[in-house]
Amino acid sequence: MTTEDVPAVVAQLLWRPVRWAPEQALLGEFDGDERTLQIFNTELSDQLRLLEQLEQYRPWLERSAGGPIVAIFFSVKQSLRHADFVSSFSLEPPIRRVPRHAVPSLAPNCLDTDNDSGPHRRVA
Amino acid sequence: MYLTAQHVRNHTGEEEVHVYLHVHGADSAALKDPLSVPQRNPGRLVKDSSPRRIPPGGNTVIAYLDIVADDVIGAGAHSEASADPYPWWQAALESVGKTMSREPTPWVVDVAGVHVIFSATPMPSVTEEYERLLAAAVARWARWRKQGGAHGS
Repeated sequence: MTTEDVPAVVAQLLWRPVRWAPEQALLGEFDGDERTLQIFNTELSDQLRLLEQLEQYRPWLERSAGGPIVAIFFSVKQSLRHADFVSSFSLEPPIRRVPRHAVPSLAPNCLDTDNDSGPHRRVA
Repeated sequence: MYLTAQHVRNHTGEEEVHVYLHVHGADSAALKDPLSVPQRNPGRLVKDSSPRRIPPGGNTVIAYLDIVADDVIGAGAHSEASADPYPWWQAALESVGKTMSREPTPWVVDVAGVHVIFSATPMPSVTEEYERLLAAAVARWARWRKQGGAHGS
């Protein structure tokens, strides 16, 4: 997973539009502020729950992002000011194709194994 | 996390989908080469007591779906508080089936760090087969979560 994927994953986990804060929104006040996530359509009453959910994945997300992440929540009303982004946001993360030759085609003589530890398939 | 669903056929023609879930725990190095995980580094099997009609071993594999992700992110659910959590990647992987439906298998894609490999022998509808295997994989994931498995456990 790459840094660019982090907003898509958080969006899926929280089911909210998410993006890295655009450069013009950053004040450059601290190192790493480029890792500021903007999370939209979050009512105040729901933000603690969403933050707790986010915290469960924070170490993994920060590893993928290359450092600490700051999360800024926007209420539904505040999100209206970012309507261009919020209204066009797709919750589905991008699908990246990997060249098919990276994996062999399923051989007609491929059999399953009884090895619980895997692998679960072998070519006869 | 390595979650695989494979459609097998035994010598009498009976068919069944077998699903296996493995976790890697602290062995994060396993995912440096995610495409090699199924054959070379599947991780620790999470036991499943679901009954099978067809015992594994020696059956023909007519299709399989492999899902490989970091344990933590693979276990991630849309709503942690829900009694019936479902994986955050479910909708995305459903869309893989639609996006790739006109392409020959194997389908090999990366969806925000979730690696998906699907391959099938020639059959009338590979998209339906993909959906069937994905549903079986998600059901196994849900049993795991209900039993308390997640976050590297």
